[in-house]
Amino acid sequence: MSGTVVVSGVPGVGASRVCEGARRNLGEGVALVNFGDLMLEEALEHGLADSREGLSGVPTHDRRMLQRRAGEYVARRAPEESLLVNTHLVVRTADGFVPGLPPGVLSDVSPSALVVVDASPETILRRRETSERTFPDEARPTVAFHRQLQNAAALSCAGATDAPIRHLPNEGEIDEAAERLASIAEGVIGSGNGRGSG
Amino acid sequence: MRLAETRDRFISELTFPVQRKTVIERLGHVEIDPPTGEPETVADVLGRTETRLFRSPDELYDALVAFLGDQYVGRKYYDDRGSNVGIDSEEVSF
Repeated sequence: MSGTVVVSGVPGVGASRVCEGARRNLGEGVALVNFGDLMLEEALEHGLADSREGLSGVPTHDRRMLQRRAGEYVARRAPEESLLVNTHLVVRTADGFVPGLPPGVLSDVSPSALVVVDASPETILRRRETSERTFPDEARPTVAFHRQLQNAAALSCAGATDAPIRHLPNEGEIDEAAERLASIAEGVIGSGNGRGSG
Repeated sequence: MRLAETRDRFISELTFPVQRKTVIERLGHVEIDPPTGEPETVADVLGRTETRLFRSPDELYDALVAFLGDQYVGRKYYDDRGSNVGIDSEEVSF
């Protein structure tokens, strides 16, 4: 069976760590696809960016192309494999917040389920401070606004694809959230129609 | 394998933090597909970094991206198939 579980979180919430833990728990039956890695690979090839941080400065026209390419990649793999797609439903760019999965891209990704990894703005800001990665210097209201946009984007995506939304709190240990994500993914993939338990 | 697919291998086959020599022992043979030219292996690329320990998949993946050979990195808007007006020139309208 195959299915695509799209996982999203506000940067700093720990969605990537949760995805990595879930991937290990799920074993060989599921592949982890990092949407940003696909975009960066394409951006490298075209000389548009040379790092993850550089992607946020890519002009709108080019960013849309990178998103389309990444979506097409998922569309090619999805019929044969079960995928855990780590992405952001809302992306902050130099121009402002934009959809991470615009309509055409969402259609290609065709999620069986959407998982929103969530934590309070305070937790997100604390994790950003201690992370090895570089994050934009944002105040609490901006992080809270980003969360709101993400929730709205999740609902919009669910409406367009019939994929249900799962809320995955990540306030505590990463391993705990990773186990829950693995369980959600197993339910979705096992059911073959994106309507697993959890 | 494609560059973007290496992260999944790293996560599924390595335990972090991981020494560079361990990565090379286990996955050094993996070839990364370039858009043009000869592929490099994970060992080829990591041989260029002085980092000895990768604390996370992100660190390892970032090192891989940073030290890829020239065949993986294009020139902005350059297309050796003739048109140099923008990357969307690859797309076809019907």
